[in-house]
Amino acid sequence: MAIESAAGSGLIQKTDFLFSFCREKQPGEGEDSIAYALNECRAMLAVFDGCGGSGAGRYPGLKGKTGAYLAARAACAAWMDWFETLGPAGEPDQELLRQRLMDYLRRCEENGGEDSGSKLLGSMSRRLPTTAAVALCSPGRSGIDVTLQWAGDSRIYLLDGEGLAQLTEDDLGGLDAMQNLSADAPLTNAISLSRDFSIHSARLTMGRPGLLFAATDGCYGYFSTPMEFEHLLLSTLQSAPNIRAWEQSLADAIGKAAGDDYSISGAAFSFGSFDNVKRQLARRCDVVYRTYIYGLESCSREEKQQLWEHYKPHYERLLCRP
Amino acid sequence: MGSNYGSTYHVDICMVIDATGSMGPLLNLVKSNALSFYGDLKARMAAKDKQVDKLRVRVIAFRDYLADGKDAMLLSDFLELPEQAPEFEALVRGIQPKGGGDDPEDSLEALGYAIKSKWTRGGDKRRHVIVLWSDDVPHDLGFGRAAPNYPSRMAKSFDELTEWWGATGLGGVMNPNDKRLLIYAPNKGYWNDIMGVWDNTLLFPSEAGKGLEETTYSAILDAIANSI
Repeated sequence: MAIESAAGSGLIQKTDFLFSFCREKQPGEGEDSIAYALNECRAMLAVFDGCGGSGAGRYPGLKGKTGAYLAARAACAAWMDWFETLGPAGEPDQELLRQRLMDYLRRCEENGGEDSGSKLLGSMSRRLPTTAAVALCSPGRSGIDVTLQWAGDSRIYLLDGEGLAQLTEDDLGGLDAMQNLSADAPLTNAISLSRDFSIHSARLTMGRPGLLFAATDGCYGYFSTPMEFEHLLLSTLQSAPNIRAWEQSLADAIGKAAGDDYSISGAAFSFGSFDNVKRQLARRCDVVYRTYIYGLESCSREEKQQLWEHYKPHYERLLCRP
Repeated sequence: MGSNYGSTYHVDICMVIDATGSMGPLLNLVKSNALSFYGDLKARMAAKDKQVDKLRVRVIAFRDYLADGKDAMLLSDFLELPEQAPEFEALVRGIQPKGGGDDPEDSLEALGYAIKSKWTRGGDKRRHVIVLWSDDVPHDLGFGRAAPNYPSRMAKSFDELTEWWGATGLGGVMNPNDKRLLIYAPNKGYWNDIMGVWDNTLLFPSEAGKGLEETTYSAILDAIANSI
């Protein structure tokens, strides 16, 4: 859903547009959830990916929905509630967020009846498991101040004239983005009701125009290299006549590759217009195509690894580790 | 999955089956599950719009070294499905419940064999899954060491077997990202210990006097399908 904003000087005015989609790989079986909110002081961009492996059990009291489906929505509701409590200034209260989150998850369990997977034990069993990737934005002295919050392998990215940057490190035991594409590793941390978890937090400032977005693993996890995801973002952008068309073509293109639900919640800041976004990212699109994408199909695994090694330092230039 | 980008998914599954006399009617259900496994998993995967490019299955049927001698451990190679379905079917149908001696079984030795399987290195993505069915707790490792056919290269203790599998943050002989262990057994003894220490594991606790419920088989299938 694309939303354009008005001209002016507050956060709303620095926000060129919001863009988002939440697509199910199989109709009726989706377990992603997204949120976006914007007021004069703050913006929130968020995605949640219910973990289908450990949260496959169904709750008869909640229409037989899976723990993964419910957890993603409970986390989404908790963050939205919490966002409403944030004042115009000051540090976000992380403890209050955690309380809200646990309240919502407990309420799911209380109303859900016995989860068909609740008897499962072991290191992979989690009750009501979900990832979270949330960006909180507010106007700062030298740009947009961003607080990143995350757990699991949903990510927050920045795409600006310098290229795509992954901002949040996955909870996958230290694997980098290229290793993650082939390793398919288990999560070492995810929000759940049954096990201790961390919500990582980090801060940065966007000092130049950029697209900030949260994405679930269905968006980035089905390419042979991370560079293809950046090129897909840029090439669909360059071909789109307007925001709505870009949002649609980006979702469709990701859907052709994805083997999972795929969701994005994002915003463009400080470009001034959609045409300016295209203009300022056009050169980067060319560079990515010429340097990494042209001829990639015929590259061996080793050659792709070499290209990744070249791309990686720039892609990880703003990476925040837990 | 990722067809535009050419990634391939290879999955190996090692089925470890308790074939002692006490398994009786449960074994028939396990065999029936094993035989319908390929079709059921394929249907689950299709429902999730996922595909596996190569699926191989290996069977290990275990009893007790001391009580059952040469029949203590039946070990197959990996068979490719659906291409080798007839061989797989003959193998599974040939497993008969017998022997076992006392209540506990030599199931940790079977797990040791499973861990040391020749897992696939093919494909861009891989999943190596061990599924174990038993109605009882394991003996200590080495309980049957006096038997002439007891394997000389078996882990010497539960601690060593734990090293073979790997605990959280520690390696093991299997790739830590690819491996998964699903156990259908009572939540007692070493099964309980495994759940406390080993990573990438799920236990579907069986209840005394109750068979393998359809919901449990379904949950095992879901756990595999969702991990792919």
